[in-house]
Amino acid sequence: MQLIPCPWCGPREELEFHYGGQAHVSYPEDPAALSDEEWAQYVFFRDNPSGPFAERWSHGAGCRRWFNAVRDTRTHDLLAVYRIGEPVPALNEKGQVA
Amino acid sequence: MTATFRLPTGGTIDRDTALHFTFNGRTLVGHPGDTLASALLANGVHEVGSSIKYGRPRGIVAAGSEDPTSLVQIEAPFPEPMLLATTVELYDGLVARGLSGQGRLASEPDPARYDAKHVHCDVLVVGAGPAGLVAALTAARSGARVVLVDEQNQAGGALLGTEDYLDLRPAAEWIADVVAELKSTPGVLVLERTAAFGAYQDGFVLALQKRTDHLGFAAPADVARQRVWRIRTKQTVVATGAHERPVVFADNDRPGIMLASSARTYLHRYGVLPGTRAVVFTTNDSAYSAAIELAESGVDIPLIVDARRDAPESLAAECADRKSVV
Repeated sequence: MQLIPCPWCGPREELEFHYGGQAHVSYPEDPAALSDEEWAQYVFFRDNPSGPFAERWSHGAGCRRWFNAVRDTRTHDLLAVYRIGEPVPALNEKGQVA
Repeated sequence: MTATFRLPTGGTIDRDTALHFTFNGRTLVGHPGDTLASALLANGVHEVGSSIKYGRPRGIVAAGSEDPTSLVQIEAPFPEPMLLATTVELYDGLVARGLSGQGRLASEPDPARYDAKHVHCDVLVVGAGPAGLVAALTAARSGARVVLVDEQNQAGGALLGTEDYLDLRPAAEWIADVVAELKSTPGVLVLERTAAFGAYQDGFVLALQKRTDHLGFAAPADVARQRVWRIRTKQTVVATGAHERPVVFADNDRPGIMLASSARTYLHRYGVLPGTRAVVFTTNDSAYSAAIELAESGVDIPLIVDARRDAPESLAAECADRKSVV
């Protein structure tokens, strides 16, 4: 079972966590101004990269707080975790936090 | 009352206590410290079951969990199918029978309890043979939290099947001292009868401990029969040792054909002669010590077949002294 390093609690087992999808998808500033297609883009369309991916996680069985993580979708390795509001950590070529 | 193939001395069995058990309808006698396999061999029983398709007879090949053929069904105290006779510890009142590849599941509910436990450590050592014991001891002396798991009922691994010396004294004494030091060191957990069966991400290892299986009818109802250990470790030392591989030849699956190292284990650990007359077939030096020790214990070894072009001279000479042709 994988350990996920919660930025508040430290490393905990993955079954304590819930996945929250792609991170940094902001709510449209003026939803009423969107066309149907733009609204559909916001609601349904997400990136699906092969490699580092910034996503939201919630530590449901621990501090119950949300945080962000960069996960390599090919290996499941968590490359970085950071708190909500912090910018995505820059990664070097090896996928490590620069 | 002693079984025919049991030596008067030697091994880690308690000859003063007799354990009566039933195998294929026959009542036989063994002793505490025996496995079902060693007790059968002590009574001269080599054929355990048969193969599922052609009904070829199947016997006891090895002395541990690496045995491929000695499948038995436990009928009492509680039905359990497809166990290896070499891994069933003997207890009074055991009823078992040999299988032809298929067992019988219990039709009544299992009254036993089962549980699971978590443990965290710095170093997990899998296997309590000489390498594992030293690894665990070194880590423990440095102050690390250590878990040592071993599938057998006593530590020592391959040393249990030899008369070897370690640090100028019998290996059994050395093992006892190391285990005593480990058990008295805070932060060290020694788990016997515990087999690590899976290693997963981030140092997560699962192990199954058989806690009351060896007690048979005397197993207390309020103690979990088996326990799954969920171990989270920073480092793992795999010290599982080596299994001897069989020489391949026609009909090498018949009862009476046994690994040389296992014959040695039956001799030294259980005080059992695996026969009265044997040919030793080998491709390396290791079987010579088995041949020599079996000969000294009274087994007639008329012939040693070495697949190599030249047998090692000193070992061949030792065998010639004992009237064995190489």
